[in-house]
Amino acid sequence: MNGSSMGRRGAGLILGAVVLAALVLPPFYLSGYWVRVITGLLMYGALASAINIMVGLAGYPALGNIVFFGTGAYTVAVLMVKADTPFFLALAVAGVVAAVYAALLGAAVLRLRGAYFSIATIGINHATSELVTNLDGLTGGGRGTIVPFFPGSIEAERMFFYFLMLALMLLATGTVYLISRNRLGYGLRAIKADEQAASVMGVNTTRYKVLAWTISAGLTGLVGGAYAYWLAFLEPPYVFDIVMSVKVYIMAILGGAGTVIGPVVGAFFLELLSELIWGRFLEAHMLVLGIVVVLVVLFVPRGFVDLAGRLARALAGGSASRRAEGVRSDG
Amino acid sequence: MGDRALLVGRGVTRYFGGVAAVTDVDFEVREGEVLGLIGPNGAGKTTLMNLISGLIPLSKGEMVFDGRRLNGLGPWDVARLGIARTFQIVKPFAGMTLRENVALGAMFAREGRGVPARQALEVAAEVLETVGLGDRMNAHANELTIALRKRLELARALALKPRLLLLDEVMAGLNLKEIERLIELIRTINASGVTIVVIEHVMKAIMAISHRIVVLHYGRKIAEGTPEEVARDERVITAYLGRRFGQGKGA
Repeated sequence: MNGSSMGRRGAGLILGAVVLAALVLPPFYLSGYWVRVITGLLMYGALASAINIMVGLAGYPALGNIVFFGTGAYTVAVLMVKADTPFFLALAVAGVVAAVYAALLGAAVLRLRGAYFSIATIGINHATSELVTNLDGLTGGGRGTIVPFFPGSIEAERMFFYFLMLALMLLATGTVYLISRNRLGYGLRAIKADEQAASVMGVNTTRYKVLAWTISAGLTGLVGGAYAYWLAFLEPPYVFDIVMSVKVYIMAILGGAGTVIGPVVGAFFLELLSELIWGRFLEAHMLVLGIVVVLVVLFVPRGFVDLAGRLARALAGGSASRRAEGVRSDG
Repeated sequence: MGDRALLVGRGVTRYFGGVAAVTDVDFEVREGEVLGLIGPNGAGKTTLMNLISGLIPLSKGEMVFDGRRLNGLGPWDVARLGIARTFQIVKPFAGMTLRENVALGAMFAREGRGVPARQALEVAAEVLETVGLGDRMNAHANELTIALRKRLELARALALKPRLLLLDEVMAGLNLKEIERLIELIRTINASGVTIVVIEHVMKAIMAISHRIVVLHYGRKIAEGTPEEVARDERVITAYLGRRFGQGKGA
């Protein structure tokens, strides 16, 4: 018993080291194109983890969550362009602005559930996009705005954004890990299962939902802010893009909503797939993505992580499952 | 069992649109007792329970629990004051093990005394043991029979360490043997110092466990007293019990 748990810990350490190497080494060995692709994967991993807090843990389908990405992006752009703010300060402010925005919206919108909540978040995204477009004195409006370029060589820039997105992904995933092991996580899972039952068990459902959205939005805003600096040119449709929002949502579901690592797996899978498809079928990539989504919903509705777990259990042998059957039948 | 009132309701009223579901009900729950709440379907029993637990706000009247006014509090505040409940239609948290289901109660128990997740899981194990689910802690709720789900519901409420426990038809759908066991369990819980309000249609059970009974009919209180007194009451016999129970007890 003790030996096997030691063995498991050893295996965990080795796995951890392999994953760490796989995350840190690529920019030193791969071509510029692939570093850029993987930076994108990391960004989507971060976004999928951030939306997972709402969709996976709290069970609130925040389909328009991209609004906080746009908000963060424009916060960084405006601060850097209009106030010469250093990037990291602007980025921190972007996270805070997005989080506060969600906290204010949440008090009103989180009374809605299911599809109604979903529609409301889409509406908020459109409204915010319009607002940014019309504040053109500040934001450059529909003409867009140029964000100051990264001051350094192309190689340095590549490294910088790779490790920035990696850090944000680890931050977002680490946050999900911490939440799911604490009272907040249990409270959110209870809300997802049955909000009324959660409330009579002492979970302040209103506060917890707002808190979850605030954290999710803050993380999304940080990623948006980093994206603005990476992209160097912003237009409202780029960063308040509902298609991107849906994509992130699907990534979270695909990998396993509510799990810690699932959304990252989903993000890597779907984004890599879409990158490969993008290169071959410029016209048809949305069609192929659509088919992938339908297949996922039909065959892996609970995500890759759940599927892997079931496969592992099946491989572990019939004896365990027979024992479980016995327990169930004498109940 | 003392005579001190733990929960007092005065003029408790709730409208749904123009319909009065509960009208001007005065009641008290005394410390340490088991109070039965009976009446025909639609009499307002569950509405009254929802009002106490803060799931719906009062239209008129007030409720005071151990000196604190409940009006305007959210269900989570009420729960943390020490009022726990079960639901008629069980609401287990899907996707959580029995142990996690129950741990949730311990995590969010009484004001400021909520415990961290790890410790709550320990408490959950003990509580599951007391309701007889100790050997299935890691099962999921959907693997349980209805009788065991009712026990889970009870365990979850107990994990809040309540002073007042509201039980909404915990015996519905159970067979006689299961009902007997549950009565035993409710008595044990009561004996440990928890005051209990029970809604129940299983007359034998409610007559057996209640110290006092309140009868609701069309949202109004029509009678109150010991099981014997209530069973003799003409209004209760016509409105709800019928001749069999009324005479049997009254003769």
